[in-house]
Amino acid sequence: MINTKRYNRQIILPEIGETGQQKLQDARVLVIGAGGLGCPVLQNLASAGVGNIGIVDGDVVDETNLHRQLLYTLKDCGNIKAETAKKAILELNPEINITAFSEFFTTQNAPRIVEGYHIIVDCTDTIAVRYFINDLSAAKKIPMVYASIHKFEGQVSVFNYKNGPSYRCLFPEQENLNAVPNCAESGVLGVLPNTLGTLQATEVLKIILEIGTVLSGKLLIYDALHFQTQIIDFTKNPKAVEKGFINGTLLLNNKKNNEDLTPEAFLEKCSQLGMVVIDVRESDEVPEFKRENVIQIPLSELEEYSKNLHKNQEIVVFCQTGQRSQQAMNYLKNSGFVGVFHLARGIESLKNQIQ
Amino acid sequence: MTITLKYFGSLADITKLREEQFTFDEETISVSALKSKVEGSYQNIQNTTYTIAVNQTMSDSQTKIKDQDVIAFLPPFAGG
Repeated sequence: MINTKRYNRQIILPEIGETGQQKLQDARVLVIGAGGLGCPVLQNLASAGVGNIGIVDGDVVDETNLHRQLLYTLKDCGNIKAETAKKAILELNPEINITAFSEFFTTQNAPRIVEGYHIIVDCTDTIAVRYFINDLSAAKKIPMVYASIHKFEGQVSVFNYKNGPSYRCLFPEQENLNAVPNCAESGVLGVLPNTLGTLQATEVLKIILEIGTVLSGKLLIYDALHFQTQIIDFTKNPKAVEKGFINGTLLLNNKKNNEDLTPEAFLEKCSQLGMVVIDVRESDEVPEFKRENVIQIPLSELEEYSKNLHKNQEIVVFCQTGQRSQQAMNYLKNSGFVGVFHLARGIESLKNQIQ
Repeated sequence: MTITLKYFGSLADITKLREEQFTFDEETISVSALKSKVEGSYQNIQNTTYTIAVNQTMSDSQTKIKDQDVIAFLPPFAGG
């Protein structure tokens, strides 16, 4: 039974009513990332009565999160984010089901985690992860509600909605090694992800309720500093959609999983005889990771270097966060190498194992 | 012809501008030709991923740009 008192102010909207509230209660939404965007998404979905919410985040709460991630308090610092978020939103609304996945979303665990969800909300901070969230969403034919931020600006869109365009239609994946996103930390105005996350939650509710016009085939750009918004129209690129669909299907069938290495698997690979381990970071990046078989080849020089390697040579690549190594791995695979792996979340995920 | 270029996200960081006007002798120019000109002015843009919208609609390399058009240079954002 729906608690009609709690939801009274939205049930009295003719567009929602008790029927709409029941749709919200039955909905199953997966929120990937419980950070700046994830917090407002979770607060709003939970308060609105979305009945089943999954939270995926492998991180812990840090004091630097608190200026924008309003679910957490100082006493939560050091605690696991997914569990902490679960507890906080159950206090907001104890009448819903929350599943916490205290792990980073990777190609290995993705098929298990997405099972049974009807909508994916992308609140991640890594472009490489965004591509495979898109691919899973395309393969499972469930919409992906996207937002991302940069300093004072944000973008919002909905991909793969009712056969609509995908993330790859907007931003085709670059196979060119020079076109790599920067992984340096850039600052962000605390309120910004809250604005964007609230817009994401709005799209999720509209999709569930089947009301209004969903932001599909449109990219909203918001500039908080100058209060300017723009909507860019984009259309479906069948090749880009198909690429995502194929990738996603391979992922779901566990055909693509073992190339993304966990810290443990990475260290094991590094100790294998004959393995070539390539650090694709620039020479001044820390922490250093030195082993006998580790060579340092910045990404811009990898193309030249790889010409001297046999295509059967097994190679492990790594960088700081996993973005550049993903690019490097894709490049090597596309140029014919058969055994290529990368450290999925970069050397930063290895901090506890190296001194 | 005179057109307005708008830069977003990391591209505005590179150009240090949110917006500027370009004037050409030609009456029309393709998106790919404009891209080469802009990448000539700001070489660091060559190393980034972005998409180009003409009058708020995503373009392809063949799209023709004419006088008074507004061109947006849009990189994907990473932050969450």
